[in-house]
Order: sequence, then structure tokens, then C-alpha cells
Amino acid sequence: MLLINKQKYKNISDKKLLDKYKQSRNKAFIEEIFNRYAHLIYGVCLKYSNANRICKDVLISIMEILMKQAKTKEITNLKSWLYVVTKNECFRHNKEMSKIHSNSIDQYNNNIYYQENENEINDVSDKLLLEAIAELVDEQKQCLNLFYFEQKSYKQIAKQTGFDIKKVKSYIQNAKRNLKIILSKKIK
Amino acid sequence: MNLYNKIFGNNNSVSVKEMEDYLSGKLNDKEMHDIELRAQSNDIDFDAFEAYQQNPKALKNISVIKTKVSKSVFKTTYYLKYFIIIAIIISISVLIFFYPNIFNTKNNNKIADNIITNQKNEIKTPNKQQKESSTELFEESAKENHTNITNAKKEQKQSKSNNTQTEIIPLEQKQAVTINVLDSISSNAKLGFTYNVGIKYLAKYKCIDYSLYNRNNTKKKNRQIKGLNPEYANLEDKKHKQQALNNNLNLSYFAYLEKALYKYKKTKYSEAIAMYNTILSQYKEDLNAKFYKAMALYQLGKYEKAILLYNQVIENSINVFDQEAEYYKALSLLHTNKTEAISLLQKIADDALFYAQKALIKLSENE
Repeated sequence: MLLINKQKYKNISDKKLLDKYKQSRNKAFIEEIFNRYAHLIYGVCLKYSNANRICKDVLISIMEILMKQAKTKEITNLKSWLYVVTKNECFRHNKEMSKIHSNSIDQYNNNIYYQENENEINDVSDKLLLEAIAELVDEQKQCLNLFYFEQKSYKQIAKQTGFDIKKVKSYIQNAKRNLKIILSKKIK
Repeated sequence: MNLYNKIFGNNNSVSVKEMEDYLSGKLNDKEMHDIELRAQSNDIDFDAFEAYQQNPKALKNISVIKTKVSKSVFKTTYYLKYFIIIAIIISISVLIFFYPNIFNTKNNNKIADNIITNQKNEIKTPNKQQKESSTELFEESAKENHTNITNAKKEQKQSKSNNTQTEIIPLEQKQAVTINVLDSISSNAKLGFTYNVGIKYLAKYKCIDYSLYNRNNTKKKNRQIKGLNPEYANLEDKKHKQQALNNNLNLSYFAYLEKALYKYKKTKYSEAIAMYNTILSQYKEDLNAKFYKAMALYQLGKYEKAILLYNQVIENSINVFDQEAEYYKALSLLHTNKTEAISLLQKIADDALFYAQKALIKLSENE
């Protein structure tokens, strides 16, 4: 029966799974979402939590929050939602842990709250994008071009440019973030 | 695809397996780029990918953590699944307990259907004087359909334990077995003889299909027992007896008759007679039981008892066994009253029906 369910929901999109859960309140739909993204949530937990044992609790609380919110709210971008909520939960658990152990001052006060369609940009022409890329720092520009337009791996880029692999990754990541900021300014 | 989508488009998440492959260094540059591209497409993918690169051992813990979390969050779903499975098992066992014949009757239908395709006008009977015929009959059926025989064996095993205590369910409670009555009637019509009722074949033997009409003279069972019967020494004894009675197997009329016919086929005549008696105790005028009981008695050499039953069969308005009963009555009479036997054989020969030739042979033998 478990196998049948897994096969049955495999090709359903995240949005449809959430809609079906909203209608039927059947936990099997949320379970499918859990099976799809548990490893990603767990990875984010590993990055942001102070102790690995928190990860399991965070996973449980995220699924409970999802089941609660999906009943009433519309979640359009599930992956972004999971990312923000996972980070928030990690900070919250870290805060609770630090309170228990040292009564230290609240150092995770700047919680990020998820907002739908926060920085959504649509209909960007190639010309506008190339203009925005031109405004980036040279290292970011170089890594972005090699990665997206020449389809080179981190390793190849590092070899070609002489940067460290970690630097390559962060240049690409920062380039994307900055591009969004530049584009949003240009569109306005 | 425009350039914006190339950079900011959403890609599928990287799976655990792909991450493991990536971290093990098995992949070529193109495959590595593909995974990196997907990891760059979303913050959650990027951070998770980075975390596993720093801590590759964590990938191995995922399946354990997933199972634990799944059990604690979705436990009600698990319980529901188990509940449904248990409920199905219980309902099937209850069904089997109350209707033990639910599958048996289907098997019987199959047997009857198979046999009807091989129907013959003559009733094959193992002859005491010619032992060959009985073995031939058995071999023939063995060649013909192995499944028939295995089913029969199974049924015989069942009937061994429940032989004397078996109850026969009145036909009205069971569905009639579908058979092609028209075929059997038309093949007999070629000989200028038609049956006045529907027939069917059980264990390769011709029988009257009583499911096609009601029988009014059915003996109703009355088994209400109150108090302790003098046959028991104490209540303990009665309990054991009661338990044995409770283990009775309910069989349809045709299933039981078929078992009796298999006994007959295997030359277990006295066991077959006991089963025909059980049928006759409930259906006093059952011609199937009467005729085949007479045949069994004939095989055992109890000719006088057999003749009495043959007479009852011939006198009955149903003509299905008339020819056979007359012929075997004549053969029985050869052992008791030869003159009457010869006059009866002469009559059969004059009728020019199926047994005419055989009657002539017997006449020439006894002249």
C-alpha cells in the first residue's frame, strides 16, 4: 500500500499536493512533500543549527507548521517557503538551546520572516540582463559567465581563473543576488 | 530559453543519490556542472549542497532520520494503513468461516463445465466381470483433465473426515450450476429418445439437474435437543460430541453427489452407498442417489436389493435413467431370475434404443 501511494503521488507537482491536502486533509500528501525535500531541509539544518541533534526536532516542527499553514494559507513557492521556515526554526531552536545552557543575550533576534513574492521579477529582456551583468564586479561577472553560459563546473572555473572552489561558489551566489537587486532597480 | 531563465529558472532538486555520486568524485565535468547548476537554482538546494559538502557523512544518516520523523509526524497515516490491512484480513477470514463453500462451489462449476464438453450417451459403469472397464474409465478421465482429478482428490480428502456427519444444503439455497442442457437433449434425440427433464454431468456421470425445479418432498431437519441425552455419560462427553458436530462441513447437493460419484468411480462402492443413503435421508425420491446406489449394489453382487431400486427408477416419471435401469435390471436378473431376465433383454432389443445391441449380445450369450 505504501509503495502504491509513493508511485501515485510521484508525478504530482508541489502545488497540487498542497491543494489536495487543503481539500482532503490527508497527511499522505504532506508525507510525499516530506519525502521530496527532507534531505534538503536536513542539509539546511546542518548548516544553521548549533547541534546536529536539533535537526530531527526542526524537521518535525517544519512538517507540523506546513500541515497547519497549508490548511489555511496559499503557499505558491514551496521550496522558498521551506528554506525560510527551516532557517527560522533553526534560529529558534538555537536560541532555546543557548537560553538553557548559558542564559546568554538573545543573539538571534533578527529572524527572517517569509513573505510571498518578495523579490519577484518577471519579463526581463536579454538586453536588460546583459546590462545588469556588466555592472557586476569583475570576479562575479567572470564566474557567472563561465558557469551559466559556458557550462563549466566549479572545478573547471577554479582551474581556469585560479580562484578557490569555495570562492567560485560564493562569487556565483553573490552575482545572482546582486543581479536581482540591480534588475529590480532598473525595472522600477 | 531567455538568459534570465537560464540563470534564475527553477530546476529539479538534487537527490541524495546524486549528491553521493557528486561527493564520491565519480562524475565527469558535464555531470558535475549539471548538479551544480541545479544546486544553484534555489537557496535551499544551495545551502543543503554546501552543508553536505562540508559533512558528507551526514548523507548516510538521512534515511534513518527520515524514518524516525515520518513515524512521529505521520503515525496516524501508518496506523490507518495497518488498520485497513487488519480489517481486510478479518473480513476475509470471517467470510471463509461462515461460507466455507464459497470457493468450493466455483470449483464444482468448473468441473461440471469441463465434463459437459465430453458428454456421452452411455453411462460408463465399471463392470465386476470386466475389471478392465473400470480401469479404462479411470485412465480416460486421468488423461482428459488432470485438474479435475486433483480437485476430486482434494474433495475426497475433505469428505473422509466429514463423511458421516455431512449435511446437505437444500438446492433452493444454492445457485444452480449452469449447464448446456440443450446439447445433451439433442444428442439423445438422434437416437429417437428425449429426456423429460434437464440433465448434467458430474464426475463424468449423467445426473438429473434438480436445480431446474423444486422438490416438495424434502425432509426438514429437526435437531433441537434439550436436556442431557442418555447416550452421554456426563456434560463433558456431550461437549465433545457437540464440538464434533460443529465441525460439520456444509456442502451443496451437487458437490456432495459428485463426491459420492467419485467414490463410485474409484470402486469404493460401500462408501458411495453410505453417501447415497445420506442423500436419500433428505431427498427421499432422489433418482440420482437411487440409481447410482443400485449400480453400487449391483457391483457388490447384491442383485435383489439393486433390482428393487431399479424398479423404483423405472416406475418414476423421470425417464433419464430408464434405459440404463432396465438394462442393468436385466443383468441383475440374470443372477436371480433368468427367464424374466431374457424376456426383459428381448424387450430392450425390440425397443431399438442405445442398449439394444448390448442386449442382443447378452441374449446370444445366454441362449
